[in-house]
Amino acid sequence: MSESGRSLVPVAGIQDSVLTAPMEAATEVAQQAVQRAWLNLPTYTLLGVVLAVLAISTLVARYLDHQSIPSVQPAMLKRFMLRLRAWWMMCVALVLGLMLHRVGTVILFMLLSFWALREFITMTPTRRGDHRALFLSLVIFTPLQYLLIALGSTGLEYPVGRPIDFYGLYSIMIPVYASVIIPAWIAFSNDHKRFLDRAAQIQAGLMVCVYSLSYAPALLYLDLKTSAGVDWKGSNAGFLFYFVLISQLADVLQWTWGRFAGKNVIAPSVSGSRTWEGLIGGALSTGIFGALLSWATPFQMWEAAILSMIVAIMGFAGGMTMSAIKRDRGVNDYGTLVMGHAGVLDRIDTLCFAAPVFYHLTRFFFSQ
Amino acid sequence: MAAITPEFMSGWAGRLQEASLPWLRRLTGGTIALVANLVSGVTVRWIDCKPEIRQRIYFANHTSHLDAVVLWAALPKEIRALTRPVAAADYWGAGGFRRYIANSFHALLIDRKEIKVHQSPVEIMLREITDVYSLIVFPEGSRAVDGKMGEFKSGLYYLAKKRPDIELVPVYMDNMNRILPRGEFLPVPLLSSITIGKPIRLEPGEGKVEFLSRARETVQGLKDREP
Repeated sequence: MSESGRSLVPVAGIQDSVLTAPMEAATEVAQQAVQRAWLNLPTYTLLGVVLAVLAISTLVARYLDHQSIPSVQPAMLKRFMLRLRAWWMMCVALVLGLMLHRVGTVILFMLLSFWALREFITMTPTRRGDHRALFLSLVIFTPLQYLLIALGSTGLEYPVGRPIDFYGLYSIMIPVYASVIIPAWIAFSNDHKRFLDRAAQIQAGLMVCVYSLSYAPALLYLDLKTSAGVDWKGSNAGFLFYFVLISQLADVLQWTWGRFAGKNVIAPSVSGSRTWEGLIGGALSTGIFGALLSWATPFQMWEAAILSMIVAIMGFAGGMTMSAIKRDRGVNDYGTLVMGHAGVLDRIDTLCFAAPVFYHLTRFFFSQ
Repeated sequence: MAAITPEFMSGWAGRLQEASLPWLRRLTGGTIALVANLVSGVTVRWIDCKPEIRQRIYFANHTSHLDAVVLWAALPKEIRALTRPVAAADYWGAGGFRRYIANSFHALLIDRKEIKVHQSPVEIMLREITDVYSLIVFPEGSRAVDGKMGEFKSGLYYLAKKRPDIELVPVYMDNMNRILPRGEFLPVPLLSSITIGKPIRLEPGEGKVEFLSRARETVQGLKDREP
């Protein structure tokens, strides 16, 4: 692609000198691209560890469930088993997505966003006049955001010689363009009641469920380097898996700390189970796990620890925010509204809040 | 599946329907059910009532043009094949494509404008369902504005009176008016739920007004039922 583009340069005199140098660079890049496998040994190891832990936990939970004299609270066990089921589903979906390469993973996250936004809007009180703005958000903006990310996979170049990277557009489309178009669209529907509320609700839904989450698959398109500036030869798929794993681990760890050491509830009117002990203990222990798994990332151990702690804190913030919204709407779980069990949004709220921060820190310090 | 009047079967859609092989019709029906389930994200709850293959009349609140097809699609496959939703002829009979779709989900199209003495909707329904098919009816007659349930029309009472052997099953459909409200063309694929409650019958000696308000209350009562 780049060669044919370059040969179109009309200046014949300098062509020879121009042609050779970039072509060498191009072959070098191609070799690097070959060396950077989609899935590599560390990724498979990470996956294997996760599957093993899930399998052991499932067996233990099954065993506890079949005990004649229960040694743990049945309600707690039940919740844990539901959690496990959700993790299995998450794991299987993620592996299937990763098997379908970058585009498959982007599509998987698009479906997640779509479903989460669906739950979000179903729960928020919109009015008849919002119909077309909702259509726009769910059916146009959601796929468009992911399309812009996935276009990086096409290998097309624009301008010639530079592979497409619409980061500049997808990182502002929803915060800027959607936030301009959606209120206007609602205004056109001739209904001014609770106007700012309605516009803000839809915008918030798009930001959390679509925009923020889309940074997770965007990790696959980063050209990763170590902090020393050396190209990282690992797998971006494994890196994404690492991020999802850390954010889920953080959730479990903060819950465990809150449960067994929690005393000071942060905001009782928002969430009765989220404590300072959970936040701090969860973040520190997530940092340790993150450092131990740093072989799947371009980070050194201390870098992995810091980033993992940030993921844990952002995830916690996500959980708090979603609790506040749920409390306000008077529902326990997004799923109960219609399905009788926890919904997609309950499972990915931590991911949604951690993804943009993790992406930007990685992009700034470990890319380009 | 015979349509109500020959006019509904004219045009290319009618010819396609006539010419179509049974498997093609099943395929279209299955596809419609799948799409309806995906677009409406529907969850079905059966409360004090089980899905059974027997003749029933499902009566539901009505807020959207999608109601008929979504409720039909939400039933188990075997029941779906023997259930006919009553739908408005002025909407579902307008244009070849809609007519084809309506026929594929076994819709029983009723013309709300031209009601004749010997062609009353109840007569047509009873004639069409024979003693095989179940029926999905919307006793409010037309879609409610703001999702508030209107009064029930008397059709349900006459159906119950003429066919006392058939169970009347109350159904509450939630959120459909947000998925496709009045006057909109494109559906927004939100989530919705359907609650199916305990069957009722016309009690001996029960009057029309009493029965209709009781039927309406059973539907209303499903609205607030906890899962």
